[in-house]
Amino acid sequence: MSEFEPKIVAFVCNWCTYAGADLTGTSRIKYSSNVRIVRFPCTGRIDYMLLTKAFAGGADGIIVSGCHPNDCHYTSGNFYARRRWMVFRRLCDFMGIDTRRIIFSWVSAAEGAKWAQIVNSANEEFKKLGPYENYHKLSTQEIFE
Amino acid sequence: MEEIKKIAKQLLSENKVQMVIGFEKGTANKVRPAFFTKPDDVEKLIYNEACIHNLALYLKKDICHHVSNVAIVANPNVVRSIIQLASENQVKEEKVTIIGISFEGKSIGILDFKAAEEFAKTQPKGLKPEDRAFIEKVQAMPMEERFNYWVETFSTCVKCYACRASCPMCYCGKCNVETNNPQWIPVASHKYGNLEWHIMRAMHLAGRCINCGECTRACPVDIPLNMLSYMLTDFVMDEFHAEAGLSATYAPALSSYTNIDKENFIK
Amino acid sequence: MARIGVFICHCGENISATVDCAKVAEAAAKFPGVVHSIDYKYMCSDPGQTLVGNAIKEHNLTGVVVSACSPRMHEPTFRRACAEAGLNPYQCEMANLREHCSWVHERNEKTDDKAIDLVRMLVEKVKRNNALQPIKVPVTKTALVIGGGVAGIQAALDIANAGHKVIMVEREPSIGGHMSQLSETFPTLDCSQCILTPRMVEVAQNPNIKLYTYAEIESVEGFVGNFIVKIRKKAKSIDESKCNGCGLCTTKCPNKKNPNEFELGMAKRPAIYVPFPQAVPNIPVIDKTQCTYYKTGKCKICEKVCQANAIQFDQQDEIIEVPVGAIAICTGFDIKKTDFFPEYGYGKHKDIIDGLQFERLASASGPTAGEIRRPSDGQVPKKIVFVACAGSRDPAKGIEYCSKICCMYTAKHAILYKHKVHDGTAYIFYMDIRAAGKNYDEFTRRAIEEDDAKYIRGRVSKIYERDGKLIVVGADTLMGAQTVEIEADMVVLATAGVANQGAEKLAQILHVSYDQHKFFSEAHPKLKPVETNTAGIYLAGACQSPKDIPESVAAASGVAGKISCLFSNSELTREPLIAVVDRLAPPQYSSCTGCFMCQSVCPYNAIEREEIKDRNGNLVKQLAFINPGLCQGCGTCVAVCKSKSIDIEGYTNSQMYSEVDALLNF
Ligand SMILES: Cc1cc2nc3c(=O)[nH]c(=O)nc-3n(C[C@H](O)[C@H](O)[C@H](O)COP(=O)(O)OP(=O)(O)OC[C@H]3O[C@@H](n4cnc5c(N)ncnc54)[C@H](O)[C@@H]3O)c2cc1C
Ligand code: SF4
Ligand code: SF4
Ligand code: SF4
Ligand code: SF4
Repeated sequence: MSEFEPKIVAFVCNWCTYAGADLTGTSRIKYSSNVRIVRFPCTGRIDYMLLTKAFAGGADGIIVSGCHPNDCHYTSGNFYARRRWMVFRRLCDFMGIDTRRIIFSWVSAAEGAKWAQIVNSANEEFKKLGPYENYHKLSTQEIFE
Repeated sequence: MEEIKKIAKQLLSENKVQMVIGFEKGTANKVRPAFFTKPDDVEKLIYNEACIHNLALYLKKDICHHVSNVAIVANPNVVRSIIQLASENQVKEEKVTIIGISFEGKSIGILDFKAAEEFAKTQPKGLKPEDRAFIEKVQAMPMEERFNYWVETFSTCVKCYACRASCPMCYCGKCNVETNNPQWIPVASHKYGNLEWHIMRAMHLAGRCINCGECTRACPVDIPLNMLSYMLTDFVMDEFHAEAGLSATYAPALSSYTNIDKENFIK
Repeated sequence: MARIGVFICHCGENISATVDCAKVAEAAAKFPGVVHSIDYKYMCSDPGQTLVGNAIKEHNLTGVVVSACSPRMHEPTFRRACAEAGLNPYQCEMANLREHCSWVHERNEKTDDKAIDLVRMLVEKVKRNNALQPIKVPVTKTALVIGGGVAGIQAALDIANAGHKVIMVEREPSIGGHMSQLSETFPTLDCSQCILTPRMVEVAQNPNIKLYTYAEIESVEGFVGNFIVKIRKKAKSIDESKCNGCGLCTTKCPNKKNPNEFELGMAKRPAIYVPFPQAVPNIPVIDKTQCTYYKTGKCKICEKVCQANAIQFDQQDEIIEVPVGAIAICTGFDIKKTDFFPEYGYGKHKDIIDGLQFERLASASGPTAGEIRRPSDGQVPKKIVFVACAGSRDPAKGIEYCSKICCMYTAKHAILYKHKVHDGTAYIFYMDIRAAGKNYDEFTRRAIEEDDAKYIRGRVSKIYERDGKLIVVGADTLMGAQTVEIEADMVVLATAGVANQGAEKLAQILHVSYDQHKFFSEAHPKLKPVETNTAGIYLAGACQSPKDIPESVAAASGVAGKISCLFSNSELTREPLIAVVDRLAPPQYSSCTGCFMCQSVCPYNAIEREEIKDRNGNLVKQLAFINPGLCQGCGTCVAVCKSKSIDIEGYTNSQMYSEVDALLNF
């Protein structure tokens, strides 16, 4: 059997991490092709419901990334996001949702290499954790129980 | 008790308010919320240890919108709810008269918002020991067990939304659970949809829940769903030093920030 | 029914070398709603764009997904191509197959799968795109220049000379900034005042420039082309329209013993004062904290002597509101004071001074009329030590950067010293000599070779007093870290250049970003050096990082050029990717509950309270309303709204949801 390849969804802001990932490309730095990037205007726009949605839909891991504090294109969207993530992470933890599968990072438009490294290390971590069956199965077979 | 009645009567007869919200005797040995519009009806007003329901709930109902001013018999939970609702622009000071009452039924008289805030601050803070014990018990489970615990617990939810209907902070005209474009929360009450519904509700109440426990009391299948928002109340207090229901100018934890919020979890 | 066209670009071989483009096009052809799917060598070329245009017409497309490079690169290109073919430009999306796929992965099936996923994601998104119209906003052709140092002066004059109105706001009683305090300037040694004063006067006389001195920015609202600025004109206690600048009041004021800021405490001045003789405007101000009348209620001598009746003790601060189209931040810098350095005695030795104080001593108009005399006893120092990098390049002190100007002005100081004290000796402790610039290295060499400055490479660890001398202890790293001790008469610290006081507050008022040292941040370090991340707000001079005069002036002219470009059109076009609160039929009016949590998170104050009233004028409901002119489209409000009453064009809930859905559930 071939090695398990996790499905990773990355939620990133347009101005920093999306641009940073563009730079990874321009610099031809290779990283795992398991990741799919979804572009948002700002981390402030990222809805936690999309994260649970991604798990339910079959993602094994999630990356959420945006501008470093004080660098937000919109000055403060990332600060509100940071709080929301703190609370969401705490809730996930309490509810037994695997927080190791949600990786938060700040990747600036200049950090192409960091982006590759974030994706690769996330990929390794998610590989170790294996498929997120606990969550996936909720949304598949058990619906019709 | 008598003093509360006196205040209520006077408010009605002087037409300072057109309705007093309180409790009256219900069937069997139960109590029920009552809406007094005539001074004489106030005789039926009661307050005893059974009167635990959070009456602030009714402030968001249409029933109050027909009258310009209401008075409400407010135990500390109700007071905190009103303050929280005021901070969210849902009640106006000039429309609501707070008749303060302790949990034990002792009258505190009419409170303006300032006095109400002071009063709320003197009330016991934080979680009750039994709630904390419950939270710690769940937290101590291994992750998978915790997950299964909640999935199983919520699997009995019938999506009747009694919790939502009884929560004073759940005042959205169109709850997100009812949006269908996109369908954020699946309609049917299966494990997945139920879990997401409760994740969403807990997130919406984070830093806003005033810990009255009404949601869980209302639940026909006894789901301890309040434990999610209680746990977050604690978290928000620890991390952001913010507590709902104490100040009418409170900025809810999730719509504010500080430069020094923790980010040790961010790479 | 959606009719989507998909165009897979090979980008020469940039994409096709890694991704099987034909296979992706084939897969895309089978996606629901896709009616046309092809691959092509260069989508951005003319024939490529024509392909898109023709397909739109031929297949009656309702949406287009160009799968090529990053949308940050060519989105405008393809949106334009769509518009030319009659499709609303906002019905075009790009899948990033190059930067996010072919350039970062190996050629294999997994990479093809990813490419297909990315295309599917964008197809699902574009199905839900709305046709949008760009927002046109008018431009107020007036620029606000904050700060009247050399950078502000240059920017104001250039903009004014391009024919636009300028409002200049300077916090001090006079414009001029640090340059007005300098004696002579490197690398040419021309007199600073002589080259600056004419330009200051020009500012005052230019009919296009309105100057407010002793004034600060109170608030800024609005957005590019349409800012509303509130300026606080602090009370000078002088009626400026009456004062003729005779200066009688300042000579007659009996309260003359106040520290003179312009002379950095090395001289005194009256309570009513003009900061320096060449000040523009030449109008005094009363320092209320010092004036005897304000303190005791008695005096008013200035009022008695003023023949123009210009003294107004009861004058109040005035708030002026002005509309402007663009803003130039030119608020400059400051330097660390000597009291910052414990090892150099916390500033308690009078004869340890900073570079600016030395400039004043060397200046013909300064407290010593240009003679180098030490502050403690007025003696001419025969041995003088200059300490470069005092604080700079020192992470331990929190200032890890190079202050850039110190190497040059220290060399200048050594030269000026030698010109004035022929028999004196100047020692310079330095880390490296950084003299990159036209004629700069020549200048420092001149200090060493012609003016005999003794450069010692190493840091000074301690300075203390012994028998009226300052003992400077340092190491000479070129001599095997040998300890050097110099008995000096005076020490000049080239203290680190730091952000100006109040920079952080101003950044917050303007909503522009700043770095950890509180210097304003440029939008891009290379390609947008004079822009901030906020459209319509620019920066020039030392407020960005320590800069010398030529650099400050060049940046200021750059800003003026940018602002003139902005003002060359009467309307601006803005992307319509903004948030809206839903509206429903009465009695709901909206699903918005009026909790206004969105209002508190909006970084642009774009969210207003709209009141719905019934026929009798009674308030029925309060709703959030988003001002389309102010919203910048961050979407923070969208994620905060519990009832999902807000949505944002370009990133709507249904778009984002279906993007995630398309990646996973198929
Ligand atoms: C000791 C020393 C010697 C130097 N010698 C030379 C030299 O020989 N040659 C050379 O090229 N450079 C020299 N420089 C550098 C030179 O001083 C700067 O390059 C120049 O002053 C930068 O101009 P600026 O307009 O950006 O800033 P500044 O000169 O600092 O002017 C900023 C102006 O903005 C005003 N301001 C600040 N904040 C506000 C606010 N919030 N609202 C309104 N107004 C505000 C200030 O009052 C000031 O008038 C020297 C610097 C020092 C410290
Ligand atoms: S305890 Fe339940 S009902 Fe009470 S405020 Fe919190 S969530 Fe609402
Ligand atoms: S009251 Fe109980 S059963 Fe009803 S929706 Fe709430 S949790 Fe579910
Ligand atoms: S957050 Fe939502 S419900 Fe609250 S005021 Fe804003 S739009 Fe309305
Ligand atoms: S999208 Fe951002 S800028 Fe626009 S109204 Fe919402 S919070 Fe404000």
